[in-house]
Amino acid sequence: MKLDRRTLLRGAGSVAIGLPALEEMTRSRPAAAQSMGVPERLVTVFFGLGLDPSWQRDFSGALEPYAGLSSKMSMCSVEVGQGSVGGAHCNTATVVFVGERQSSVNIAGGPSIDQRLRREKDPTGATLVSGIWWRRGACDAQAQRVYNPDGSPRPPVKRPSQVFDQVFGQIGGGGGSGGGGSDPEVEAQRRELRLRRSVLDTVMDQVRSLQGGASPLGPASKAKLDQHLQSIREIETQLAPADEILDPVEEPGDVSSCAAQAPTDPNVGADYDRFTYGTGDSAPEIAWPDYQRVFRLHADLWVTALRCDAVRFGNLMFESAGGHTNLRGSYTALGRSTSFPGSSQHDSYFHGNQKNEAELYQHFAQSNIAYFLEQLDDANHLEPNGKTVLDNTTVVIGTEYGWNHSRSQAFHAVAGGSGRFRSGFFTDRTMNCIDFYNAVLLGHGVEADIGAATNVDSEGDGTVILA
Amino acid sequence: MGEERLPFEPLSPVVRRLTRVELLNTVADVFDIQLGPGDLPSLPTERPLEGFVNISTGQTVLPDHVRGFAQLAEALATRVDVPALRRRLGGCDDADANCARRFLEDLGPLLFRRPASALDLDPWVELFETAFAEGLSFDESVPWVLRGMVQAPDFLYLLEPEREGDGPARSLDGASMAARLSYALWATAPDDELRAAAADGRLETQDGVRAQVTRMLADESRLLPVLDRYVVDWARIASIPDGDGLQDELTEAASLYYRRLATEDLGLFDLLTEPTAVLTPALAEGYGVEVSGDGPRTYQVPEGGGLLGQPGVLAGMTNADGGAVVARGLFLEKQLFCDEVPEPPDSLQGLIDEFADAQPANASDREIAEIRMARDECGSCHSAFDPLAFGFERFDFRGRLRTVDEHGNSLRTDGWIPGRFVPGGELQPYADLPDYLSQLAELEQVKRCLVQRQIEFFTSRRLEEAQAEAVDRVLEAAPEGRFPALVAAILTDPVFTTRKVVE
Repeated sequence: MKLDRRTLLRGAGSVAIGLPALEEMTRSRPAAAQSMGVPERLVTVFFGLGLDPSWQRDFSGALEPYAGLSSKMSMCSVEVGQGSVGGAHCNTATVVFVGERQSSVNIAGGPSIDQRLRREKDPTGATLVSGIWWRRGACDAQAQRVYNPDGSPRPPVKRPSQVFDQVFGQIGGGGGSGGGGSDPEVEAQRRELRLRRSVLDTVMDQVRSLQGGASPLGPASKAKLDQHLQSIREIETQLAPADEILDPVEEPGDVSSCAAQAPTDPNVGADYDRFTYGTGDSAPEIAWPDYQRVFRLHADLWVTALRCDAVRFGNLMFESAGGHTNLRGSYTALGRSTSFPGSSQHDSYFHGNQKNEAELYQHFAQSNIAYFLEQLDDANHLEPNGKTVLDNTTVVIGTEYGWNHSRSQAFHAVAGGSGRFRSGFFTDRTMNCIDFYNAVLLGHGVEADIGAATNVDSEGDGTVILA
Repeated sequence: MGEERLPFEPLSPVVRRLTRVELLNTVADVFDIQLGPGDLPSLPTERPLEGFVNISTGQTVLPDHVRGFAQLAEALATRVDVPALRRRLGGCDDADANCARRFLEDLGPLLFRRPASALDLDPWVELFETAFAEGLSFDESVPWVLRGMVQAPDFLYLLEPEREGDGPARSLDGASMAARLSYALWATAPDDELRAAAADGRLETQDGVRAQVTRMLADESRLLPVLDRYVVDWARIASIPDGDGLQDELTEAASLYYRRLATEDLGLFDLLTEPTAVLTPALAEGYGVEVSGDGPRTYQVPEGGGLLGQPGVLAGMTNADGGAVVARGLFLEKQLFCDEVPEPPDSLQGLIDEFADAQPANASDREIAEIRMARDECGSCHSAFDPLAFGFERFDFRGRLRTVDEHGNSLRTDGWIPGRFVPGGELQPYADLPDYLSQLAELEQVKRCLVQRQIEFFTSRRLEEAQAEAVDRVLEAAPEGRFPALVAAILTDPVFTTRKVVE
């Protein structure tokens, strides 16, 4: 079997997404799931605005979509420390999943927990940051959930097709593309791959030489170049695939299962861009089923990436901090209905103090996040240890506020986690988000000291969530 | 660098990455190949996190950047005319492999902005030899070396080696100065003349630097696009929404206006009061002036004008949370006074929400601001910046002029400059927008802040309090802020010509 196994995912509409040579990325891992058990993973999921504390105590309200997952989730309320700069939704959002106060608008006070763990567990692995949002104002941090160790952001990928390119794609038409062909052609391809590898090795040597003891650069410059080197490593196998891929060994079930899981919908055209991604005072209206369709495609892509072990760390976002998407359409849940008003949820519900409507909006949000968890929990896709992907993945769900801009009692939850965490509600405990984040990392065997860098005080014991 | 001017606090030498435009310009100048943004589609949109996109502390390096650099390398390698390049560099007519080092000795300084003697070319010669050993010809091997060189940190970053010496500051070597000057004023690699000046020591003297600055300012085709980048970042125009399809016009018109700083005999501070605006027909209509032709043109606008009155700048300063008064007040406080108030404490968040909900439905923005300032908890901070926005009340969020708001309230343009920004501490009333702009242009703190932002842009560094004396020195050398004098003062000042010693 030769290389040309480009899979085109064609939806009911006319949009096709290329999924090139999927097996390459599954093979690029050190035979992860097969020989080493199950990899450690941490995915954060963010949703905007927040939940009233009274909805966080059981599954009778906004959290109802999680009822079927209750044995796999740990629910908490946390105090989100105030950032030092930026306006509402900006200063707190930069602290979510980070814990440290930021010192500059848009730059966090440290790494997000997914990146902190990635550095320990999978330093050369890829990160995926994606989702759907509309934000208002000049604060990029409202739509940034993932940060490097120096606090610089990793902005989210917007379009599902871009997610494909990032996770599964290759650049430049280089190694790996093309069909079978005669031996001289294969030999030419091999030579090209070897040269790509030589180019990349030379470049990486150059970056490393500027980081060593003899480097004339200071710590801040070295940190920049470290970031550069890390970024190269994350996509190293895409830039210069190993030339063994020209003779792939058939591994039944591997490629086919990944390809079979890939989403096959969608009308994910540019049409949705103007509704679902952007900035500005007034977002165009979008019907909630359309919004849901785009989000679920993002969720499906994440599920595929995790099942195929293409990505282990990152963030999936359901609406930015501030929540300015203009949803419309009638929505029914919890035995009642509301008509989303076609003006931002932030303005109409949170500033308007409309709790009943806000609860239904958040039910909508949680139902979509629950969809993501359910797909991960699909028993048809068990991992080598006989568990679901959700069981083997730590998913940290979090938001920016409690009710109406209150920084206390911001809903956070952990799902999955390979038995590291207890299930149940711990929403009556007072804890700072730093306690919670430190506990999540501790669950993964990392004794973190989140909060130390900016002297954020601990306010409680996050280890209550640990098994 | 001439007379020693210490004590002063030198800027820390943090490497900075070339911006997208700088990458494309450099490739165009070194290889005579015009690549465009479409050739590096993965390179993320640049955002001025620290004020300007070229400021190192605000630059990130993500996997998508690396993808973008790889795409640039690929586009270059597939389009480069190697035989022509070979004849130009190294004199390698015969395409002999032995010529590779000579070829790279000529190419290295162009790409890495440093003389060959200061460069370690061995890795690149080895890369050439690897390709050659694979059976490729000289001309087939060169593109593989190019792929590597344009992805190397020496190309992608401005690296400035530290010189031997004493004390906390070191003057930059000639090659580093040439690169700094070239990217500051032209957004590209040093040309032959700059490299010659670096090689023969002319950039070690203030007169030598000044001569180069004068020469470079005369090349408007390279200079003016750099000015465009300044105003787009300064007024955060790049991120204004495009719901009405006017984003490009707002951007172009504001850029054309700001270019006048370099093309006309205007000082930086004159730009605040100069009563004209550059408007396209659509923008002119919004501004309430009679359209006099196609395309962007300069119009007399007695009610507004000046840098702050350009529609693109008005749109940019309104492009933030909190309503027009708060967004503009905070913008003006930051960009005219280089001052930022702290965030409201947690305990006030509930109050802020209640306040927003409790306002009369038809109140004007100013009435709401006045109620806000009258409350102790709010007024202690809002009084410091809300009034800065009052003079612009007649302009909406796209810079369109109107006299009544959507509720039918008459809009005024009188107000006051808060006492904290006025010598003596007494608030300073203004009668209307032109009066306001005139008063702003006279304030020392405004002049200092405008100069500070210019220094930050040209040095690619954020200034700290410790560098306040640099602003003094530049203002002393260019008291009216005329562009040639201003630029020469910045680019010959130790804040530009030195770097802090790495500890």
